[in-house]
Amino acid sequence: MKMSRFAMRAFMIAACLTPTAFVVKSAFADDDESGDESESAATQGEAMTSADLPKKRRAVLEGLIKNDKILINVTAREMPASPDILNLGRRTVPALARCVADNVDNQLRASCANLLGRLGDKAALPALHSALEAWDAHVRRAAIDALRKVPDRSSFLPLSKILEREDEEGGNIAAALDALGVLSDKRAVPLLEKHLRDDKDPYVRSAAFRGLWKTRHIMARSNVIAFLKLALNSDSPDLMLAATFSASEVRAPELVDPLVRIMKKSPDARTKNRAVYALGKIGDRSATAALVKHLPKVRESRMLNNIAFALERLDSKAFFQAAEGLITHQQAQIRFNTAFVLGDVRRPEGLPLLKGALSDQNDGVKLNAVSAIGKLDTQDGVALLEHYVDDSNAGLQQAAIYALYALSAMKRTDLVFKKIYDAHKDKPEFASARLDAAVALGRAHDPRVTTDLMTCLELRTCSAWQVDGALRASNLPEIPGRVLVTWVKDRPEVTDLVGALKPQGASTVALGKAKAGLALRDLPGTINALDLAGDLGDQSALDVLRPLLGHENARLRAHASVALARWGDTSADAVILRDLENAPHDQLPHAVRLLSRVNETAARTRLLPELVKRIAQSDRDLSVAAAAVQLAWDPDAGVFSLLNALGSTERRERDLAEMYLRRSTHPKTTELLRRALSRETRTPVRDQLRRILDLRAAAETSSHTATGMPMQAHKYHR
Amino acid sequence: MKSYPFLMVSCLTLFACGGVAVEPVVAEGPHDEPVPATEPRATLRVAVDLDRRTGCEEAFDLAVYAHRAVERIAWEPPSAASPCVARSATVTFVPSRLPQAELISFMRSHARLLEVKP
Repeated sequence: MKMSRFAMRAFMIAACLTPTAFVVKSAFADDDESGDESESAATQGEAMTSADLPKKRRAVLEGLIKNDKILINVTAREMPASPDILNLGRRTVPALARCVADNVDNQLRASCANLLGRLGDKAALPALHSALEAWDAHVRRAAIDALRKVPDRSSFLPLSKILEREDEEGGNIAAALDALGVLSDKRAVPLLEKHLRDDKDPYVRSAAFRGLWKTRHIMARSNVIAFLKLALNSDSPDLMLAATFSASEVRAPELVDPLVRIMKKSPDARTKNRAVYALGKIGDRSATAALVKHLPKVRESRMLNNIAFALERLDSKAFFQAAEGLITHQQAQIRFNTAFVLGDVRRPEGLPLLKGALSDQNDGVKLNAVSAIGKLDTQDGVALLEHYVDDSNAGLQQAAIYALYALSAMKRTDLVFKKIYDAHKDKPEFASARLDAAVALGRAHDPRVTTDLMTCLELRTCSAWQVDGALRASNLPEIPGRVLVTWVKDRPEVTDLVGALKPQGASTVALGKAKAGLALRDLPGTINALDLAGDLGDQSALDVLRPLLGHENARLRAHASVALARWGDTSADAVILRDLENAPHDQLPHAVRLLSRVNETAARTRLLPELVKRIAQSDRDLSVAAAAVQLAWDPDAGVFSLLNALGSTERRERDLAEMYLRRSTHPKTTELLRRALSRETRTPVRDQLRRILDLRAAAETSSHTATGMPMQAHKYHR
Repeated sequence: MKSYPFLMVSCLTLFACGGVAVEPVVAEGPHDEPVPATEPRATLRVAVDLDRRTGCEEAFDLAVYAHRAVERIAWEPPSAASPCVARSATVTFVPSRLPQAELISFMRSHARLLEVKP
């Protein structure tokens, strides 16, 4: 516990990497630990079946399910790769548990423990508990981490013994506190509190804080506030920062004083910003005076922004009074930031201040003022902006045009088209400005720019999400075919667009690409083609895909079975359900995304009763995943299971529900979450719902507006 | 494309907007529960002007959903630049629990202006 922080972190990183380093060799099954994103990882050229693996490893792999002793005497050279073991799913748990218990190679034991954590099956708990008494610290660490991923109250005593070991590594102590935190066990609270209060090691204290934070749903609110206060008032920068995040979720007025102190005294800009953000979230007017007093000292744009938003809630008048002084401040940087923030606040009260800023000598201030006027919730700025639509300063002119476009709710397309898009035709130096205009006009589905947007997508100058809406709305006959050609050139990001446009012959092409992918052992390419084939729904493909139901690669089998189920092939249903139950827990989010693609009523009607049965099962990861699929298919009914999970006594269940609710792309989800928040009486669930809504709003607006009008760069992060 | 700074600004702006989100009116009784499918629903189309503040639409939702007879408020995308004025929504509700006239009166108490659309 006396290790230096650097040494401790080095140990932690080494401990995390060791299992992977020793086990992952060439794998025939792709490893999707990090979700869909890893599908694009370089697995091309890798074997897709076990036939290509070295003989010994293949033999071990083939025996894993039948023989639970097979890993006892296996060596590192003979051990199959992690993705290949995970590919076999939870049926490998008995063999992996014996590996943890009985293999003498500590690195292999750690690797097996790591895999057991990922599989998430509680049958592994006895073996993992025993491994906590291993001599080797790496093995103990792998077991602790696995127990964190498979939280169960039976792990309390074994984990608490780790804290009592006099020779235990600091990293293991911290990991054990993290694991204790997710057990949702009240017995863990005094241990966590003791380490938060008394431990000398800031790293361990941070872990104790995280553990308490994860346990907050079974603690009295006064105790939650007490440990947050303790952390906010501590001398540890990491603890203070973590506590500012938590404070913005708990929103307790009792935290105002320590947060104000951090705003005034903390040397760390991020912590200060988070403190101000939390003050805004808490919304207690007692913070107003401190925020107003702090405002003139602010030189940093993000802090100015955070104070503005905090004050807007606490005392809007106070903010505008202060802004009056700042917009005429002697330093241009402050005037520049203030103009920007006045736009972000969006209140009409900002207009007189911004009007004044239009006369500023500094072009940057002027530019920000023009853009800001376009964001205000008032049409009174239109006349001011009209003066700049022919300005000789190109930047100012464009900012004014986009501001007017925004104020017209994207109705003044002619203005953008004539003054930017058409005016800069055949001027290479304005190519970028012209493209921005095309993307902005594309958002309004202006047909005059469709061809350019298509070319832009083909040239990879635009991203798919920037042009998706315009291309979907287009009536040009050439667009579906061109989008299909784009997809064929290894552009999986346009898969959904192809599926929506359904170009002629696309099904043949998709199946051809799937077959080519199989022949070339290109797993990501194959499953992408299978997904598209599922979208296109061509009956002629059934014979091609049915053999894949028996494929040994679980991911490939899953994508094929979902595509087949969508077309009405009922034999695929059983494969889907069997694979879902056997899937490693950390791959269930991927399965949810895949099943969410099923739009066909017939397939949903067949599969839904089976999913509902699984919602009621005791395997909570599977239960919440099944509820997430129901949310995608029928949000009105599905939301209640996830709301129940949000209010669960188990932290893991709550976190899973939050993750799925955050990720849900169904347009109704936000409405349902607002309804739930409005009626929610359980404080921790309300906090969680508030947080989910905030995060969804942030994600939604960034995706909506990112294709819109270009804006000036403004450097701030929270 | 010059969208990255814009994207970043948008994200941060929204985070900040979260900071001014309005507290819901907490309903009494248990948390949200489904209304039995057998209970008849009705819909009402309304045009609404809301208080001009950040998060105006959500604030209205949180206030109106507090009445458990309101099942859904489906907003149409804003037709004007402001997200708070000239908004249209379709409200699904359970008339046996909340008659239409009372619903209208209840919603008006949370809006600057509310008119029923034909």
